[in-house]
Amino acid sequence: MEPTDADTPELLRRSAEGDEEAFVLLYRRYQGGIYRFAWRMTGSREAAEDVTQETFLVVVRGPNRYDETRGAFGAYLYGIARNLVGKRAGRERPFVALGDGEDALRSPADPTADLDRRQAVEAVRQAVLTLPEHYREVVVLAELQGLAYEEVAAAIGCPVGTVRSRLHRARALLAQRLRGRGGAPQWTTRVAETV
Amino acid sequence: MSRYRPGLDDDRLVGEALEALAQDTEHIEAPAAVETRLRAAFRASAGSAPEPAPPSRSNAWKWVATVGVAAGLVWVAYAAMRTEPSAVPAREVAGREAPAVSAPSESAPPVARIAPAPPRVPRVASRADAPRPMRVAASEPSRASRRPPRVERFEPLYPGDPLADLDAVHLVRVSVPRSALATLGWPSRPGARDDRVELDAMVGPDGMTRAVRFISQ
Repeated sequence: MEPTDADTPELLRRSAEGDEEAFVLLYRRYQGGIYRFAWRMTGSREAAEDVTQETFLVVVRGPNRYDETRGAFGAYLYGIARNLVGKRAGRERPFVALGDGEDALRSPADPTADLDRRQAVEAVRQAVLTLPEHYREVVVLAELQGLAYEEVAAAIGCPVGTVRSRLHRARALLAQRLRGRGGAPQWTTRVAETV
Repeated sequence: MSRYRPGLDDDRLVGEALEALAQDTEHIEAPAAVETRLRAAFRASAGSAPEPAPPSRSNAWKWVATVGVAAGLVWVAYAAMRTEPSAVPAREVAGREAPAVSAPSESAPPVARIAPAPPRVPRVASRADAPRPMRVAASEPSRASRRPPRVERFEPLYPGDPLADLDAVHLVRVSVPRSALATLGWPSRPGARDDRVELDAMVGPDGMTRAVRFISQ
Protein backbone atom coordinates (compact mmCIF):
# COMPACT_ATOMS: atom_id res chain seq x y z
CA MET A 1 0.00 0.00 0.00
CA GLU A 2 1.25 3.46 -0.81
CA PRO A 3 1.97 6.04 1.89
CA THR A 4 -0.80 8.51 2.57
CA ASP A 5 0.61 10.48 5.47
CA ALA A 6 -1.32 13.54 6.41
CA ASP A 7 1.79 15.63 6.91
CA THR A 8 2.83 15.43 3.27
CA PRO A 9 1.49 18.94 2.50
CA GLU A 10 3.43 20.31 5.43
CA LEU A 11 6.60 18.55 4.26
CA LEU A 12 6.04 19.91 0.79
CA ARG A 13 5.65 23.42 2.13
CA ARG A 14 8.81 23.15 4.18
CA SER A 15 10.64 21.63 1.25
CA ALA A 16 9.59 24.53 -0.95
CA GLU A 17 11.06 26.87 1.64
CA GLY A 18 14.41 25.12 1.38
CA ASP A 19 14.14 22.66 4.25
CA GLU A 20 16.33 19.81 3.06
CA GLU A 21 15.28 17.42 5.79
CA ALA A 22 11.64 17.86 4.82
CA PHE A 23 12.51 17.02 1.25
CA VAL A 24 14.47 13.97 2.33
CA LEU A 25 11.54 12.78 4.43
CA LEU A 26 9.28 13.13 1.40
CA TYR A 27 11.79 11.33 -0.76
CA ARG A 28 12.15 8.43 1.64
CA ARG A 29 8.43 8.14 1.95
CA TYR A 30 7.76 7.87 -1.78
CA GLN A 31 10.97 6.68 -3.40
CA GLY A 32 10.29 2.98 -2.90
CA GLY A 33 7.00 3.08 -4.74
CA ILE A 34 8.35 5.20 -7.57
CA TYR A 35 11.45 3.06 -7.95
CA ARG A 36 9.48 -0.18 -7.95
CA PHE A 37 7.00 1.26 -10.44
CA ALA A 38 9.79 2.27 -12.79
CA TRP A 39 11.56 -1.04 -12.39
CA ARG A 40 8.42 -3.06 -12.97
CA MET A 41 7.60 -0.98 -16.00
CA THR A 42 11.04 -1.01 -17.59
CA GLY A 43 12.61 -4.19 -16.24
CA SER A 44 15.85 -2.29 -15.79
CA ARG A 45 17.32 -1.11 -12.52
CA GLU A 46 19.37 1.57 -14.23
CA ALA A 47 16.27 2.96 -15.89
CA ALA A 48 14.38 2.79 -12.62
CA GLU A 49 17.15 4.70 -10.90
CA ASP A 50 17.11 7.38 -13.56
CA VAL A 51 13.34 7.67 -13.50
CA THR A 52 13.27 7.94 -9.71
CA GLN A 53 15.92 10.61 -9.72
CA GLU A 54 14.24 12.60 -12.47
CA THR A 55 10.87 12.33 -10.77
CA PHE A 56 12.12 13.87 -7.56
CA LEU A 57 14.17 16.43 -9.45
CA VAL A 58 10.87 17.73 -10.77
CA VAL A 59 9.83 18.24 -7.15
CA VAL A 60 13.14 19.95 -6.39
CA ARG A 61 12.86 22.31 -9.35
CA GLY A 62 9.17 23.05 -8.99
CA PRO A 63 8.02 22.38 -5.45
CA ASN A 64 4.88 24.42 -5.98
CA ARG A 65 3.72 22.64 -9.12
CA TYR A 66 1.78 20.05 -7.17
CA ASP A 67 -1.88 20.99 -6.82
CA GLU A 68 -3.37 19.34 -3.76
CA THR A 69 -6.88 19.68 -5.12
CA ARG A 70 -6.10 17.51 -8.12
CA GLY A 71 -5.14 14.38 -6.25
CA ALA A 72 -2.75 12.81 -3.81
CA PHE A 73 0.93 13.60 -3.94
CA GLY A 74 1.70 9.96 -4.60
CA ALA A 75 -0.49 9.97 -7.69
CA TYR A 76 1.22 13.16 -8.80
CA LEU A 77 4.62 11.48 -8.49
CA TYR A 78 3.38 8.39 -10.32
CA GLY A 79 2.15 10.65 -13.09
CA ILE A 80 5.61 12.19 -13.45
CA ALA A 81 7.31 8.80 -13.34
CA ARG A 82 4.85 7.42 -15.87
CA ASN A 83 5.67 10.22 -18.30
CA LEU A 84 9.38 9.61 -17.82
CA VAL A 85 8.93 5.89 -18.41
CA GLY A 86 6.90 6.68 -21.50
CA LYS A 87 9.69 8.88 -22.85
CA ARG A 88 12.20 6.12 -22.31
CA ALA A 89 9.89 3.60 -23.93
CA GLY A 90 10.27 5.47 -27.18
CA ARG A 91 13.99 4.83 -27.09
CA GLU A 92 14.30 1.50 -25.33
CA ARG A 93 12.33 -1.68 -25.19
CA PRO A 94 11.51 -3.15 -21.78
CA PHE A 95 14.41 -5.12 -20.41
CA VAL A 96 13.23 -8.68 -20.03
CA ALA A 97 16.46 -10.59 -19.64
CA LEU A 98 16.28 -13.26 -17.01
CA GLY A 99 18.28 -12.46 -13.93
CA ASP A 100 17.76 -8.75 -13.56
CA GLY A 101 15.32 -9.27 -10.76
CA GLU A 102 16.61 -12.48 -9.32
CA ASP A 103 18.57 -10.87 -6.55
CA ALA A 104 15.46 -8.98 -5.55
CA LEU A 105 13.63 -12.18 -4.72
CA ARG A 106 13.44 -13.46 -1.21
CA SER A 107 16.08 -15.69 0.24
CA PRO A 108 15.07 -19.33 0.23
CA ALA A 109 13.84 -21.34 3.15
CA ASP A 110 13.60 -24.42 0.96
CA PRO A 111 15.97 -24.01 -1.99
CA THR A 112 14.07 -26.40 -4.25
CA ALA A 113 10.66 -24.89 -3.62
CA ASP A 114 12.12 -21.44 -3.80
CA LEU A 115 13.64 -22.15 -7.20
CA ASP A 116 10.23 -23.10 -8.57
CA ARG A 117 8.68 -20.06 -7.05
CA ARG A 118 11.38 -17.79 -8.36
CA GLN A 119 11.05 -19.23 -11.83
CA ALA A 120 7.30 -18.80 -11.72
CA VAL A 121 7.50 -15.26 -10.45
CA GLU A 122 10.16 -14.41 -12.97
CA ALA A 123 7.97 -15.79 -15.73
CA VAL A 124 5.15 -13.54 -14.58
CA ARG A 125 7.45 -10.56 -14.35
CA GLN A 126 8.65 -11.06 -17.90
CA ALA A 127 5.11 -11.57 -19.10
CA VAL A 128 4.16 -8.24 -17.52
CA LEU A 129 7.04 -6.58 -19.33
CA THR A 130 5.77 -7.85 -22.67
CA LEU A 131 2.37 -6.22 -22.21
CA PRO A 132 1.62 -3.07 -24.20
CA GLU A 133 2.48 -0.05 -22.11
CA HIS A 134 -1.08 1.11 -21.44
CA TYR A 135 -1.93 -2.34 -20.11
CA ARG A 136 1.34 -2.77 -18.29
CA GLU A 137 0.96 0.44 -16.33
CA VAL A 138 -2.46 -0.46 -14.95
CA VAL A 139 -1.22 -3.91 -13.98
CA VAL A 140 1.82 -2.46 -12.27
CA LEU A 141 -0.04 0.33 -10.50
CA ALA A 142 -3.13 -1.59 -9.45
CA GLU A 143 -1.86 -5.13 -9.00
CA LEU A 144 1.78 -4.69 -8.05
CA GLN A 145 1.87 -1.25 -6.44
CA GLY A 146 -1.45 -1.75 -4.69
CA LEU A 147 -3.00 1.54 -5.74
CA ALA A 148 -6.76 1.93 -5.67
CA TYR A 149 -8.44 2.26 -9.04
CA GLU A 150 -9.11 5.93 -8.33
CA GLU A 151 -5.42 6.52 -7.64
CA VAL A 152 -4.45 4.70 -10.81
CA ALA A 153 -6.92 6.80 -12.75
CA ALA A 154 -5.43 9.97 -11.25
CA ALA A 155 -1.90 8.86 -12.02
CA ILE A 156 -2.51 8.01 -15.66
CA GLY A 157 -5.17 10.62 -16.27
CA CYS A 158 -8.10 8.54 -17.38
CA PRO A 159 -11.52 7.55 -15.98
CA VAL A 160 -11.79 4.76 -13.45
CA GLY A 161 -13.84 2.75 -15.92
CA THR A 162 -10.97 2.80 -18.35
CA VAL A 163 -8.66 1.52 -15.65
CA ARG A 164 -11.02 -1.36 -14.95
CA SER A 165 -11.40 -2.32 -18.58
CA ARG A 166 -7.67 -2.09 -19.26
CA LEU A 167 -6.94 -4.17 -16.22
CA HIS A 168 -9.42 -6.83 -17.29
CA ARG A 169 -7.91 -6.95 -20.74
CA ALA A 170 -4.37 -6.95 -19.34
CA ARG A 171 -5.07 -9.92 -17.11
CA ALA A 172 -6.51 -11.82 -20.03
CA LEU A 173 -3.44 -11.02 -22.07
CA LEU A 174 -1.21 -12.13 -19.23
CA ALA A 175 -2.99 -15.45 -18.95
CA GLN A 176 -2.77 -15.88 -22.68
CA ARG A 177 0.95 -15.18 -22.78
CA LEU A 178 1.73 -17.29 -19.78
CA ARG A 179 -0.28 -20.21 -21.06
CA GLY A 180 1.70 -22.66 -23.09
CA ARG A 181 0.46 -23.97 -26.38
CA GLY A 182 -2.28 -26.32 -25.28
CA GLY A 183 -2.70 -28.01 -21.95
CA ALA A 184 -2.17 -26.60 -18.52
CA PRO A 185 0.43 -23.87 -18.28
CA GLN A 186 3.45 -24.77 -16.25
CA TRP A 187 3.54 -21.38 -14.60
CA THR A 188 0.02 -21.81 -13.18
CA THR A 189 0.83 -25.03 -11.42
CA ARG A 190 4.06 -23.61 -10.07
CA VAL A 191 2.46 -20.47 -8.77
CA ALA A 192 -0.54 -22.35 -7.40
CA GLU A 193 1.74 -24.66 -5.49
CA THR A 194 3.95 -21.98 -4.07
CA VAL A 195 1.65 -19.06 -3.30
CA MET B 1 -2.67 -30.62 -7.11
CA SER B 2 -6.02 -29.48 -8.50
CA ARG B 3 -6.82 -30.04 -12.15
CA TYR B 4 -6.30 -27.01 -14.37
CA ARG B 5 -9.51 -25.66 -15.88
CA PRO B 6 -8.80 -23.40 -18.87
CA GLY B 7 -10.45 -19.97 -18.66
CA LEU B 8 -12.07 -20.56 -15.33
CA ASP B 9 -8.86 -20.61 -13.35
CA ASP B 10 -6.80 -18.24 -15.47
CA ASP B 11 -7.95 -15.06 -13.82
CA ARG B 12 -7.51 -16.42 -10.33
CA LEU B 13 -4.09 -17.79 -11.12
CA VAL B 14 -2.99 -14.57 -12.80
CA GLY B 15 -4.08 -12.74 -9.68
CA GLU B 16 -2.12 -15.11 -7.50
CA ALA B 17 0.92 -14.84 -9.73
CA LEU B 18 0.79 -11.07 -9.66
CA GLU B 19 0.40 -11.14 -5.90
CA ALA B 20 3.45 -13.36 -5.62
CA LEU B 21 5.40 -11.01 -7.87
CA ALA B 22 4.30 -8.00 -5.81
CA GLN B 23 5.31 -9.68 -2.57
CA ASP B 24 8.67 -10.76 -3.85
CA THR B 25 9.62 -7.31 -5.06
CA GLU B 26 7.95 -5.07 -2.50
CA HIS B 27 11.13 -4.47 -0.54
CA ILE B 28 13.10 -3.07 -3.46
CA GLU B 29 14.11 0.54 -3.03
CA ALA B 30 16.18 3.04 -4.89
CA PRO B 31 19.94 2.93 -4.24
CA ALA B 32 21.29 5.34 -1.66
CA ALA B 33 23.22 7.13 -4.38
CA VAL B 34 19.97 8.55 -5.72
CA GLU B 35 19.24 10.22 -2.39
CA THR B 36 22.76 11.60 -2.27
CA ARG B 37 22.44 13.10 -5.73
CA LEU B 38 19.02 14.53 -4.96
CA ARG B 39 20.30 16.09 -1.75
CA ALA B 40 23.04 17.80 -3.74
CA ALA B 41 20.53 18.98 -6.32
CA PHE B 42 18.26 20.26 -3.57
CA ARG B 43 21.08 22.24 -1.99
CA ALA B 44 22.07 23.69 -5.34
CA SER B 45 18.48 24.60 -6.09
CA ALA B 46 17.92 26.15 -2.69
CA GLY B 47 21.12 28.14 -3.04
CA SER B 48 20.21 29.57 -6.41
CA ALA B 49 16.62 30.40 -5.56
CA PRO B 50 15.93 34.02 -4.72
CA GLU B 51 15.62 34.35 -1.02
CA PRO B 52 12.21 35.62 0.04
CA ALA B 53 13.36 38.63 2.02
CA PRO B 54 10.87 40.00 4.50
CA PRO B 55 10.50 43.78 4.45
CA SER B 56 12.32 44.20 7.71
CA ARG B 57 15.40 42.57 6.28
CA SER B 58 15.47 44.29 2.94
CA ASN B 59 17.83 47.05 4.02
CA ALA B 60 20.20 44.62 5.64
CA TRP B 61 20.21 42.46 2.52
CA LYS B 62 21.02 45.45 0.35
CA TRP B 63 23.80 46.47 2.66
CA VAL B 64 25.31 43.02 2.65
CA ALA B 65 25.08 42.80 -1.11
CA THR B 66 26.63 46.22 -1.50
CA VAL B 67 29.52 45.38 0.75
CA GLY B 68 29.96 42.08 -1.03
CA VAL B 69 30.10 43.64 -4.47
CA ALA B 70 32.41 46.38 -3.30
CA ALA B 71 34.69 43.88 -1.62
CA GLY B 72 34.74 41.79 -4.75
CA LEU B 73 35.68 44.74 -6.88
CA VAL B 74 38.40 45.75 -4.46
CA TRP B 75 39.79 42.25 -4.32
CA VAL B 76 39.84 41.92 -8.06
CA ALA B 77 41.43 45.32 -8.40
CA TYR B 78 44.06 44.50 -5.84
CA ALA B 79 44.88 41.25 -7.59
CA ALA B 80 45.14 43.12 -10.86
CA MET B 81 47.48 45.66 -9.32
CA ARG B 82 49.82 42.95 -8.24
CA THR B 83 49.89 41.32 -11.62
CA GLU B 84 49.58 44.32 -13.94
CA PRO B 85 53.03 45.68 -14.79
CA SER B 86 51.99 49.11 -15.97
CA ALA B 87 49.47 51.64 -14.90
CA VAL B 88 47.87 54.57 -16.61
CA PRO B 89 49.27 57.87 -15.44
CA ALA B 90 46.52 59.86 -13.90
CA ARG B 91 47.71 63.07 -15.41
CA GLU B 92 47.41 61.56 -18.82
CA VAL B 93 43.91 60.47 -18.09
CA ALA B 94 42.83 63.69 -16.52
CA GLY B 95 44.21 65.78 -19.28
CA ARG B 96 41.57 64.83 -21.82
CA GLU B 97 38.06 65.28 -20.62
CA ALA B 98 38.63 65.40 -16.94
CA PRO B 99 35.75 66.88 -15.05
CA ALA B 100 36.21 68.94 -11.96
CA VAL B 101 34.92 66.77 -9.19
CA SER B 102 35.84 67.05 -5.58
CA ALA B 103 38.15 64.69 -3.74
CA PRO B 104 36.74 61.62 -2.08
CA SER B 105 35.76 62.11 1.47
CA GLU B 106 36.78 59.83 4.29
CA SER B 107 33.32 60.05 5.78
CA ALA B 108 31.56 59.27 2.58
CA PRO B 109 29.43 56.14 2.55
CA PRO B 110 31.01 53.13 0.90
CA VAL B 111 28.72 53.40 -2.09
CA ALA B 112 27.14 56.60 -3.17
CA ARG B 113 24.26 56.94 -5.54
CA ILE B 114 24.95 58.70 -8.78
CA ALA B 115 23.94 62.29 -8.90
CA PRO B 116 21.04 63.15 -11.21
CA ALA B 117 23.38 64.85 -13.64
CA PRO B 118 26.64 62.98 -13.37
CA PRO B 119 29.75 64.83 -14.39
CA ARG B 120 31.59 63.81 -17.47
CA VAL B 121 34.27 61.47 -16.43
CA PRO B 122 37.45 61.09 -18.40
CA ARG B 123 37.84 58.48 -21.01
CA VAL B 124 40.84 56.59 -19.85
CA ALA B 125 43.50 56.82 -22.50
CA SER B 126 43.29 55.42 -25.96
CA ARG B 127 43.33 51.81 -26.85
CA ALA B 128 46.98 52.05 -27.67
CA ASP B 129 48.23 53.33 -24.36
CA ALA B 130 45.61 51.95 -22.04
CA PRO B 131 46.49 48.75 -20.25
CA ARG B 132 44.66 45.71 -21.44
CA PRO B 133 41.78 45.19 -19.08
CA MET B 134 41.98 41.94 -17.24
CA ARG B 135 38.95 39.77 -17.86
CA VAL B 136 37.93 38.33 -14.57
CA ALA B 137 34.74 36.50 -15.38
CA ALA B 138 34.38 34.48 -18.50
CA SER B 139 32.13 35.98 -21.09
CA GLU B 140 30.82 34.52 -24.32
CA PRO B 141 33.53 35.03 -26.90
CA SER B 142 31.28 34.28 -29.84
CA ARG B 143 28.81 36.95 -28.88
CA ALA B 144 31.58 39.39 -28.13
CA SER B 145 33.21 38.77 -31.45
CA ARG B 146 30.01 39.41 -33.35
CA ARG B 147 29.48 42.95 -32.15
CA PRO B 148 32.03 45.38 -30.82
CA PRO B 149 31.30 46.44 -27.27
CA ARG B 150 29.78 49.87 -26.69
CA VAL B 151 31.77 51.59 -23.99
CA GLU B 152 30.09 54.18 -21.83
CA ARG B 153 31.61 56.93 -19.71
CA PHE B 154 33.07 56.35 -16.31
CA GLU B 155 30.72 56.96 -13.46
CA PRO B 156 32.24 57.83 -10.08
CA LEU B 157 31.37 55.61 -7.19
CA TYR B 158 32.17 58.29 -4.65
CA PRO B 159 31.28 61.94 -4.62
CA GLY B 160 34.11 63.96 -5.95
CA ASP B 161 36.88 63.56 -8.45
CA PRO B 162 37.74 59.89 -8.80
CA LEU B 163 41.22 60.83 -10.04
CA ALA B 164 42.15 63.33 -7.36
CA ASP B 165 45.38 62.61 -5.53
CA LEU B 166 46.16 59.72 -7.80
CA ASP B 167 49.39 59.17 -9.63
CA ALA B 168 48.10 56.13 -11.42
CA VAL B 169 44.95 54.10 -11.81
CA HIS B 170 44.35 50.59 -12.91
CA LEU B 171 41.57 49.48 -15.15
CA VAL B 172 40.01 46.14 -14.37
CA ARG B 173 37.25 44.58 -16.39
CA VAL B 174 34.84 42.56 -14.27
CA SER B 175 31.52 40.84 -14.77
CA VAL B 176 28.89 41.25 -12.07
CA PRO B 177 25.25 40.18 -11.78
CA ARG B 178 22.86 42.86 -12.95
CA SER B 179 21.03 42.56 -9.66
CA ALA B 180 24.16 43.84 -7.93
CA LEU B 181 23.87 47.12 -9.82
CA ALA B 182 20.68 47.99 -7.99
CA THR B 183 22.55 47.92 -4.73
CA LEU B 184 25.04 50.36 -6.20
CA GLY B 185 22.32 52.77 -7.16
CA TRP B 186 21.87 51.88 -10.81
CA PRO B 187 18.39 51.02 -11.99
CA SER B 188 18.01 47.44 -13.10
CA ARG B 189 15.56 46.05 -15.58
CA PRO B 190 12.97 43.84 -13.90
CA GLY B 191 13.36 40.18 -14.68
CA ALA B 192 17.00 40.53 -15.52
CA ARG B 193 18.43 39.57 -12.18
CA ASP B 194 20.46 36.73 -13.58
CA ASP B 195 22.05 38.72 -16.39
CA ARG B 196 25.66 39.61 -15.99
CA VAL B 197 27.07 43.00 -16.82
CA GLU B 198 30.60 43.71 -17.84
CA LEU B 199 32.17 46.88 -16.56
CA ASP B 200 35.57 48.48 -16.28
CA ALA B 201 36.56 49.47 -12.78
CA MET B 202 38.97 52.32 -12.24
CA VAL B 203 41.03 51.32 -9.24
CA GLY B 204 43.44 53.51 -7.35
CA PRO B 205 46.75 52.38 -5.89
CA ASP B 206 45.03 51.95 -2.54
CA GLY B 207 42.85 49.24 -4.07
CA MET B 208 39.67 51.27 -3.89
CA THR B 209 37.44 51.38 -6.92
CA ARG B 210 36.89 55.00 -7.84
CA ALA B 211 34.69 54.78 -10.89
CA VAL B 212 33.17 52.27 -13.24
CA ARG B 213 31.96 52.27 -16.81
CA PHE B 214 29.68 49.78 -18.43
CA ILE B 215 30.58 47.68 -21.41
CA SER B 216 27.45 47.00 -23.40
CA GLN B 217 27.31 44.35 -26.04
